[in-house]
Amino acid sequence: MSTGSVIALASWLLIAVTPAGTYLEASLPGHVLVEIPLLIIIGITAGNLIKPRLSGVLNMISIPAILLACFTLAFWMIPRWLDASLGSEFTAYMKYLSLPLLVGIPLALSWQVLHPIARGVVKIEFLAMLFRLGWIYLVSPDRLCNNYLLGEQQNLGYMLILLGFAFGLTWLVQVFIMAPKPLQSTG
Amino acid sequence: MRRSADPDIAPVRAISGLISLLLSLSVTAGGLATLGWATDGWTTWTAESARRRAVLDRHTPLPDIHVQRETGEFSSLRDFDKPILAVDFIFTRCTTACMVMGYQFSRLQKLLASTGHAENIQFLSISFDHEYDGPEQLSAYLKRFSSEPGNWSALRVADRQALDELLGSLGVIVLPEPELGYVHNAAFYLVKDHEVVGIYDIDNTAELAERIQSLI
Repeated sequence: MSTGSVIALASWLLIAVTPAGTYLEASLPGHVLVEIPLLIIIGITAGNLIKPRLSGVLNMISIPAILLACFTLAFWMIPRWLDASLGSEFTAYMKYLSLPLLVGIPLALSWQVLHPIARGVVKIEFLAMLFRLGWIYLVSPDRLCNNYLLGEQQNLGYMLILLGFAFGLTWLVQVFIMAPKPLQSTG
Repeated sequence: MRRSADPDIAPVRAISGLISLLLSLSVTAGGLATLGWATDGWTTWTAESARRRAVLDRHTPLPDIHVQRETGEFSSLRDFDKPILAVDFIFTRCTTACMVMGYQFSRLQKLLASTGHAENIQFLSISFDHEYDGPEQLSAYLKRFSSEPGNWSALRVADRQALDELLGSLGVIVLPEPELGYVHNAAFYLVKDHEVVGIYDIDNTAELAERIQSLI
């Protein structure tokens, strides 16, 4: 086993089995901006490991895989299910398993072979999601999650919008300043 | 990784493209179905609306627990036998939502009295601040809203377990908060024949008043 996979497996166990997960979930930004991305990164690491064995079908599954990743991520963006993952052990494990398996792995398998147009669409949609979610969390006068306080919700809103700006700027720099690479670029 | 332009594999590419399209359509259909299910048909996005729905769908009964009134006397929640109960959950040190709720209750109380319905409805403000709120605090809370005695009572639940049972069955979530004391999902509960029949936002008393009139 490579170092990467050991770290990935260890972090998954840390989040899913030990109180570290509960610790991250104690704050809304910790839950959304640390735990969820970590679970996805764990899946990406696993996906990169199995990718060579699937090289024959990667082109065929790239779009279905990215769609699967988007729908699964959308599911966990619903406040109701984020809340439910705190109240029910079953839902919590659904989250710990689905984020690596249905978001991380498909992302790793599909991203590099994805058609540049599809990749652009996903990037734009991701950027729009950050701003939309950030805006909703920032302006909502009601608590969207019963388990978190309004102040935290607004903090998360700020952070999402800042992240949106950061990603947007990075891509602007790539598009306008860095020399366009030939087609085999892996953006 | 790049696709080859070799014409020999064109049919293979067409088939793989078709499979890709079919898979994409199935994933999209499955994804939309799942999201639709997850939001009860695109209606329930927050745990709060899901909770309200669940409480109503279950026909949740008001548990039969012991309570203490602001007058100090003990009784059971079931002893309040007016046909309609309007219930909210408060703590007397609260400076935000509970003030709104108290104000709304006093308005509703006057409105219903003016239409001759005072006999048919009982207002109950139940404190979840089990340790701090006693009869004294509760009666001060009622006085703050110059409530008419008779059909508005403030209650405390002496037994911690009974309180948790009550809050749990109605899905009331109370979080301690350093500055405000507590944060809770404030709502009005309508109870008819000991069963929860409606849960209303605290800023929507028009709807609540209409529902009460229709139930009476």
